[in-house]
Amino acid sequence: MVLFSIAEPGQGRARQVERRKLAVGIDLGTTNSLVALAKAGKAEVLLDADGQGLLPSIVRYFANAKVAIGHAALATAADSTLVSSSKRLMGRGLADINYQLPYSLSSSAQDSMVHIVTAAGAVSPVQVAADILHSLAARAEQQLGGKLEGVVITVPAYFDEAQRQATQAAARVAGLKVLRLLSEPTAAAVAYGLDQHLRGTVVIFDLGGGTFDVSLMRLEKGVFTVLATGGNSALGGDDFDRAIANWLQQQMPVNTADYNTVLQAARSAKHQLTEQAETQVQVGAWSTMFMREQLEQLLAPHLDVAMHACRRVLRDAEVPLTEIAEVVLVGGSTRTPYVRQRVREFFGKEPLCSLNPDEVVALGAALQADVLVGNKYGDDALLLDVIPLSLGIETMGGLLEKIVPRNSPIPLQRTQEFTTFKDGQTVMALRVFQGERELVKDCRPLASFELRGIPPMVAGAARIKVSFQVDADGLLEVQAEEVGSGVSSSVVVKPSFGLAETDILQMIQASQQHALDDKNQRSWLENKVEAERHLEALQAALAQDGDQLLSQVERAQLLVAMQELEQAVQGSDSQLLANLTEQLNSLSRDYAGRRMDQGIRQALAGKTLEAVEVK
Amino acid sequence: MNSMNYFQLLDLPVEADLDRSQLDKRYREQQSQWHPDRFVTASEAERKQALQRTSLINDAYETLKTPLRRIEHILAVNADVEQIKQQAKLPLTFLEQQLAMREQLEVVATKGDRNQLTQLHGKVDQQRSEVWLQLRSELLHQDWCAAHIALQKLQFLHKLAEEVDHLEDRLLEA
Repeated sequence: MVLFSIAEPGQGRARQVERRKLAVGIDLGTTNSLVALAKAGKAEVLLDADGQGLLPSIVRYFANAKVAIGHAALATAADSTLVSSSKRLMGRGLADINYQLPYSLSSSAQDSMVHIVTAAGAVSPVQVAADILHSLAARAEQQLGGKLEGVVITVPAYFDEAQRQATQAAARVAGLKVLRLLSEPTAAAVAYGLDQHLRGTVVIFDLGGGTFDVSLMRLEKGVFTVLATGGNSALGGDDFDRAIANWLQQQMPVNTADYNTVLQAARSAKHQLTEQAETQVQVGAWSTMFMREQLEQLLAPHLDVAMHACRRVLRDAEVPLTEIAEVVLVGGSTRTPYVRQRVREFFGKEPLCSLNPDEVVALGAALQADVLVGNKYGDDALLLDVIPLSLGIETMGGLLEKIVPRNSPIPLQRTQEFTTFKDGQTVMALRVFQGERELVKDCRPLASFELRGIPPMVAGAARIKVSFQVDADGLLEVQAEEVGSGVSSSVVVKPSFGLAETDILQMIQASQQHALDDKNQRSWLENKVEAERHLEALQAALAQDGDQLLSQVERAQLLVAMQELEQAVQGSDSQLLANLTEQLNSLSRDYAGRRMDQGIRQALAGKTLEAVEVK
Repeated sequence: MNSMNYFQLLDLPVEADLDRSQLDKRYREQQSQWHPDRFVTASEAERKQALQRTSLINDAYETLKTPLRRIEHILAVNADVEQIKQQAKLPLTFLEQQLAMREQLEVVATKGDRNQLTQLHGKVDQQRSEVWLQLRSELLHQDWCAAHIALQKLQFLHKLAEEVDHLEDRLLEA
């Protein structure tokens, strides 16, 4: 602004930036997601503009490439597809999805990650997760008034390699730096350990919308250790809803309602029975009474699976039931009375639930994020985690040779030597799997390798060293080399059910394009505000002294330029707006100078020279 | 990595009977110092070093925690195991005894006799503690070859004990 304006003290100065580094914890849930911030050992959930903490993990994709996230996605709209519970699709192939979904899936190959068919085309679950992460990060940055240094994102403890990699990729696409992928039960333990000062051997029973985790942990001052973990990455409240919905459909004399409607009725009936012993279920014109007993019967098989996982975790850690100090409930599905009953029966004690089961994971993640980014406050704890599933390599006859047993503490490194089994063999294929079964066909393929250029030798003479490195996030890196001859071989790794690097880069590029669009949008807004301010100031100035200080021609020129700018403000061309603003600026520069001179003359009128010449 | 002395890494005495609480304490101290979470904002090289160091500490902990693996490690840091393996042969009497006990286990399994199983369980446990005593004395005398034989015996007995446990689980659940 050249037009003689003086800013008030403090105005326009850069917003005071706190010196602490900004890092938040994000609970990327199946049903709901949250973002939390910790300050000096206290964590709290960040609320959106409407005062809500939970962001429904749903995204609506429109045919015109627009995207609506969370509550905004709820309103039905034409030419759009609503994507929900997509966390269960992360790192999964078509054959893994053996249940009904309200949208359809596609897949390019048998061992590649599914895509969701939407009005905007095929969308990867990684993209959906990235959209949700982006929305939560934006909420945090807006409220904290600064850029995030990094985030801690929680994943189910029982997430395998492909699922973790997919989560990591989603963060990259959302432009976030991951300080740590933290297991959800471990995050909950951090919240209970630091906030509630819980100590001893504890069980974290985490039943969410789509995943189930159980972790046995030892909480001591300064160190929280995971002793063993187990669970099921496809067991949760969603399965309860489906079980109820299927039962309802069986009860209906004629099934006219669509599956989504029945599913919604099932969900609300489940919620009703948290407080009541019975409830009326209404689907269209049809209705029925639904009792707690019936609900328990439908849930029992799912809880059997969960309790079996608890038994195995205790056995793996060789910890007797009597040693357990507390059982902590985490996840929205632990609100169901029958779930609590089964936990109480199994562990022989009343479970603990003093922190909100929906929020506790995000709070723990926030506390850890604050520590990892370097904001020390003294009461932090080191988290020692384990790998949830065994890692192995396929050997002759399709058997799995375990190289890393489940529940080994991470980070870890293992080296194994392999050899050729034919004379003159120059190529060797290795396939890496994750799982507990004996045969590789029952385990999950992670990656396949091809070693080429092995120098021809007699069978058994080549020595191929394969090393597995699992980092603190539980992410695997495999390397192979031929050490016998000193000739290095090339290795080609092909991840299964994951995303190729090119896919991830493509998504990042697309999101940067979005960011660019956003930026253009913002710069247009800024230009518009600037232009309007300028116009306003000029109008006020002209009214005051335009006739005095400007010739007729000058005045007319200015008025024409102002008119042009006013029109541009109504339009959408950012560049034109900027050009016209600049044109008006240069036209009004002389006028501004004259006004300043006049201002000074008026201010100095009646004063002596001495009074003005101050040092 | 096998030549790495894990006792040294965790600053512990080389002992067959390791004080578990001491092991846990040293493990936590080392992890607190080296865990990658302590190096999130450090340089790439430092982060890599932390990753390797903690991987090693974890392997040391897992090795020393399990009695049989601990003994294996004591032998590995003291003697040339490949050479010992050539010399150390299990006595035939021990192998015959093992076969007899395995046959017994099969009989118990088909009959589903819980009393007999309890007896067998006791027998395996007794043998294990006998061999342990023997092993301790061999280690004390630094007779690595004899110690290796004792270790092999324990590995056999350990496997047998596991199978007895599994059968017990099965009979109790039925």
